[in-house]
Amino acid sequence: MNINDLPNDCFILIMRRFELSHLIRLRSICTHWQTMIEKTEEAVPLNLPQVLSQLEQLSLSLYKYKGDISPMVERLSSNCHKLNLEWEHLSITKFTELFTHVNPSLVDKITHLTLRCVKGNDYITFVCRHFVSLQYLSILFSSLTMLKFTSTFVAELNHVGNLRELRLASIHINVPPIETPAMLIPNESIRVLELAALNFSTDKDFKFKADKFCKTLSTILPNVERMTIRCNRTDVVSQITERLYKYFTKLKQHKVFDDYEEHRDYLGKYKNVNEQFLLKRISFE
Amino acid sequence: MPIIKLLSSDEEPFEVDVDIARMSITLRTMLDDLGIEEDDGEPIPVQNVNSSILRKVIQWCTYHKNDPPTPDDDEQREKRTDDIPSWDADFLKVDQGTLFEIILAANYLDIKGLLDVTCKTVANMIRGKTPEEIRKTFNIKNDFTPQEEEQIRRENEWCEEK
Repeated sequence: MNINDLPNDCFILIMRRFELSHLIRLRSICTHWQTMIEKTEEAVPLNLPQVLSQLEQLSLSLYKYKGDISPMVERLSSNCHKLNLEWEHLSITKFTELFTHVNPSLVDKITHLTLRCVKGNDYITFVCRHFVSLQYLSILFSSLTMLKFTSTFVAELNHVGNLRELRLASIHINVPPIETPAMLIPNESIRVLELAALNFSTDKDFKFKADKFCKTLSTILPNVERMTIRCNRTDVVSQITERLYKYFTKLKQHKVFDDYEEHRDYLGKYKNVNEQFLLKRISFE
Repeated sequence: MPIIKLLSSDEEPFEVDVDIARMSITLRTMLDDLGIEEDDGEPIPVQNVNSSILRKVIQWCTYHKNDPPTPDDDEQREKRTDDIPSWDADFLKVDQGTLFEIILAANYLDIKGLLDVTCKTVANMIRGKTPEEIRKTFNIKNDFTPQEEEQIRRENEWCEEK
């Protein structure tokens, strides 16, 4: 019995042991292997180069993938405007290399960028200085990351003149005393701001100053029209909410809530269902 | 320990512990559907597996009867081929024909652990070889026309290691 006599499902089980790049190369063995490999799920993106060059949006959820994505990024063309990368192994060095060496023509074409599972705030600096056409930036850090809302931070944001939406998640914000106006050039382009998984100290001695928080934020980003804040402290929610419209004069829509609200909503719905169920049972009996 | 009889495709009977037979999902379903808990005189036919392969399969199952169940969909584990236990590696030092027959039997009898280790063994025979070496290892004829070969070479260019 020869390997080519194996039924298709057994042959495919063997081929599933290989990573995509290896699998694709194995197509050159013979026509039978070519046909079989093209049937495996792993080999679906066989014509990837052609597809990549035509893509307008690329979303890669790579999680713990340890391979190299340079061959993919290299083939993205100026058609690509939206990029979504979720990859634990995307270091700042790799990220920089992708967009300065592998495909430098891409940086000024991207208008929507989402990064997930990245570590450290160096990404903001690099993104703001290179992705100059961005309209939407979303960064979800893999671990709690400290961001200083200072004139330096806003100066970075100001490199991206068209940025309208900024979403940051898993952050600890440091709000230093407001600087003199001369030091600060506010960002006037951002209209939508979302700060998710925003962490405030839970230390007993920490006194949250909602006025300082809202004042600094509104000085830096005065034109925010839609704001969402999800934080870890229930007591902070009302303090921020009460002051938002005082400081953000252009605000039209807001949602400030804590990490537990969705859970509470769920429990509320569940309770409601239970009550309806009980009512039905009572009426039936 | 209850015993049941299995009958290979060449009609050789094998007496097997029920617990070992139940490592095969195919046999387990059959035993459950028919309500068989121990030998009732009638051997269970294993139509697609001959005696020499069935003997190997029973030997593997006997050795692994106390193994914890293998997780269903662990992609990382599936891609790894360097974790074959030494007993299995020795057990699978057989000629290619026998190895493929064991894969067929493991697939038919639905024994995930055996199927996994045999497929990994074949994958290891492929890994690290050039196309020509792979063809030689498995006695495969290159049936591409030069044009087809060129086409594949062009398609593969993007994933070639630089």
